[in-house]
Amino acid sequence: MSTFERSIDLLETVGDRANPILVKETRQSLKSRQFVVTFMLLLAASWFIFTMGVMLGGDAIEFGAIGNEFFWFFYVILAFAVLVLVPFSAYRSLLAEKDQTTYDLLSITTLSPRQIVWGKLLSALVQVLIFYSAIAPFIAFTSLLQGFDFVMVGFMLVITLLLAMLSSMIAIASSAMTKQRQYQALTSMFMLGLLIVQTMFLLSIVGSFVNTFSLVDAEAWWTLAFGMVIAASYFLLFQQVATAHLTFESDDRTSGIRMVFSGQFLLLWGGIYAMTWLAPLTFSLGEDVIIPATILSFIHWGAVGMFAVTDDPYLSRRVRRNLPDNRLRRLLFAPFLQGGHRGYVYVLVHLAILTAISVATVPFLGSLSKWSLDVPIAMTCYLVIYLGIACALARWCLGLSSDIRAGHIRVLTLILLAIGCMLPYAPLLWNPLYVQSYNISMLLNPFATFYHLSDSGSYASVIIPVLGIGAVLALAVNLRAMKQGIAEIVFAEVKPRAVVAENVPEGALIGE
Amino acid sequence: MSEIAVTVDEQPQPPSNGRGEPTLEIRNLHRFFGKLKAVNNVSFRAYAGQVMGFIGPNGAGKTTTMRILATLDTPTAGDAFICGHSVIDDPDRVRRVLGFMPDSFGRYPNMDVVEYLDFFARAYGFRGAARRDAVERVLVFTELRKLAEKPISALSKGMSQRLCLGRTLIHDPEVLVLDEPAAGLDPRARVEVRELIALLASEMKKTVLISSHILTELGEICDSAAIIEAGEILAHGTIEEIQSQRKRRRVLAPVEGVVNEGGAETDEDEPHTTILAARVLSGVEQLERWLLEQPFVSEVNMGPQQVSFTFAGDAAAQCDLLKRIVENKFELLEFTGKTQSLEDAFMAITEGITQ
Ligand SMILES: Nc1ncnc2c1ncn2[C@@H]1O[C@H](COP(=O)(O)OP(=O)(O)OP(=O)(O)O)[C@@H](O)[C@H]1O
Ligand SMILES: [Mg+2]
Repeated sequence: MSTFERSIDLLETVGDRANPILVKETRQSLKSRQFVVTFMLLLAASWFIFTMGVMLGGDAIEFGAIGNEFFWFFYVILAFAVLVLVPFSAYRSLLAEKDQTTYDLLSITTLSPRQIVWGKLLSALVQVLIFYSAIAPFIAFTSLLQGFDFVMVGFMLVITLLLAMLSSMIAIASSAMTKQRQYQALTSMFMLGLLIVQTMFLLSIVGSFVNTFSLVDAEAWWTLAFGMVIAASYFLLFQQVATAHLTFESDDRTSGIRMVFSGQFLLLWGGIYAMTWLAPLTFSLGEDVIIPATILSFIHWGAVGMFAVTDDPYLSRRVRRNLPDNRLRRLLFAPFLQGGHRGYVYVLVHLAILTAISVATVPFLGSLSKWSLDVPIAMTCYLVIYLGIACALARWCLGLSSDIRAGHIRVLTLILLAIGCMLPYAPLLWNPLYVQSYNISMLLNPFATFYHLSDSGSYASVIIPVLGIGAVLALAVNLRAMKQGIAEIVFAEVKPRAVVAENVPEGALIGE
Repeated sequence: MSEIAVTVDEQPQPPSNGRGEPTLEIRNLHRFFGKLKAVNNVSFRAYAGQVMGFIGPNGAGKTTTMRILATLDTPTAGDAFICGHSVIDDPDRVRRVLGFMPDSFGRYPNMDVVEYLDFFARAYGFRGAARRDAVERVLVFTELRKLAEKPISALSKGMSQRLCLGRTLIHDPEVLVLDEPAAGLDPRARVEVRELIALLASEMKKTVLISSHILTELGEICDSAAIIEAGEILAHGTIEEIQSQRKRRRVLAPVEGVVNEGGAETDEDEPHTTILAARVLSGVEQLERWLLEQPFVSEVNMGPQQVSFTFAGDAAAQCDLLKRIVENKFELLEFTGKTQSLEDAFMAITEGITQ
């Protein structure tokens, strides 16, 4: 067998094993007019810059250090193609499947939702690589010029590739979430605008980073590594979100996402400690790290919690059947499963961990720091209270009518929060000159309270007990539901298949 | 459809005898959209080698039921089983044995026929030679070999529909659920699709559930049917069973085991009626007046050259009536009786309820 035949054989095997969607989309895009036109435009633009540069550059081409400027022009074109066009076409591609009802056909094949998501992502990667190869000759040309920095160019190209993959994954997740057909034109425009703004933002970041980046600067490397890890965690998160939205209704669509959220949280703190330990010279655990990381964590759990506690508690038989056999494993797994009550437990556990971390970081804070333990404790209490309210509201209201959705509960909770924030300022209505200094009614406003606690904290001895009582009340209101939500998992009777099949109650309604 | 003066009063056969386990079974299926009960307590079964019609007016809930069978939607309550696998609990297993053809084509741009089939073969996990075989088998079966390289956007409606059916067959499923496969086809293409479906059931022993509101078409291809309206099954059983049913709401309560005892459910209290028509050269009005005085005759309608009426007598009485028409010197050209067609049964059973 000749080498040629062997390589054809190899290609066949690879093509055979490859993701079906990747194969299909690659075939399609080679025939697609839109793709060919984009490709041609990219080439034309590059040629244009090339000729203009050569004409205008004159002597500088030979003697000046204009390699980097030249590269920037090509880079901007490339960035537009791979950071705007490729993610946008990934977004459109999944939407078009839903539009053309081909998505239905796809989802009843034996392809898993994850394969579908990865197929779309790999197709985006292929497009990115095609655009890269189109621009490669021009970059090769600029590399002949003086002032061309190989390391920097290679670095930028790699970073851009990774960013393109992250944006494509976000685009795929957004299209997986899009349900409303009638607003598609609008959401598409919005998406395109968003991608353009994001690309300009990324270009400016990459630009400034590259300008200040030095290969021998350890801190820059650490920042980069940390940024990459965070980007990777968001990549994973969006992959889970996309997969969950494409997963069959009776499957477990929640625990994957919840695990990623936990992972992100642990990664943040694990990363901070790891860096303190691994690179003590460049990185020290102090106020400037702990305070932002703590605030970020609270925002994280506030946002995640709002979704987790308003979740639909219905668990399908399929999910029940796939529970682990071991009671302890079930107990550990339960908070990750769908349901607002379990979601509340899930958030509470992580808030407890966060509080423990806050206690542990106290010694690292300078003695002059105003950030005492009071602020994290107050934050925890507020989250417990508001998430508890949302959880209870969801439980009471969602059953009332099918018109009430989880989204309404979240909005309602936020409105309550907003009213609480504004109420202490009510006297301003009749007395515009009323000057507000902190008093106990300001407890309703978490932000003013945080500020007060970190500023003077003279009310701290009242604030903390009151908030504590509020948190206990919020827990009490949800206690029974939480207990039931966990017990439901731990003591779930998983009936053998045949019995389940016959137990379909006549006329009984489940779900809805 | 019309036969001369013959009404055969056959005892319908229970359809399920000797067929083994049902390959498709729907149990107390409900699907509500808010207040709208799109599918309301639907139950029926189908067996290997059977072509079952799923008949109902627009908005009756056919597509909704079929989407649940195809694991594209989940029921509000109840369950359905394909080859014993629950569509709720085991969608993955169901997908391996079920082929679903939706009422829309699902076209991909920039693709030709072979690529389309090849993609779905890959999506069902076929690799290498098995994949090429699957595509080839479908191309041969649907006779699309000649069009293999043609872009699918250039296919005619009939060819598209064949390709669609081909895609449904790519993983050689046991059960086929076809949502209005013949909609929008010309008579010739319709016959072709119908022949393919008949072949699938008779030769390959597939179970086929096929929805339509073109009843004449279903009558020729199906051996059993379920009539659905406003989400509820009004009648089901073999074609003969349904045809012999009169206008009664909820003739068959959709409970376990109905298919087996279906035959016993037909009414015995009401006497059998036939629709008869007499065509005469002239004197239609006299015939009409005369008929109104005869026993067993009701609902007399007069056309330009013909009188049709409902006759409640038995075969001997009918023979006697014909004799007397001739004796009374009516210029009779033709005397026809028509057994109720599936269409008549459908019209009689459904009431045009829309929700
Ligand atoms: N996703 C949905 N949301 C709300 N209502 C729906 C939805 N899908 C179907 N319906 C409603 O359910 C009822 C049954 O619809 P279905 O499509 O099953 O009817 P059908 O028998 O297939 O009719 P046709 O012959 O027109 O195809 C209709 O009233 C329809 O409006
Ligand atoms: Mg329909």
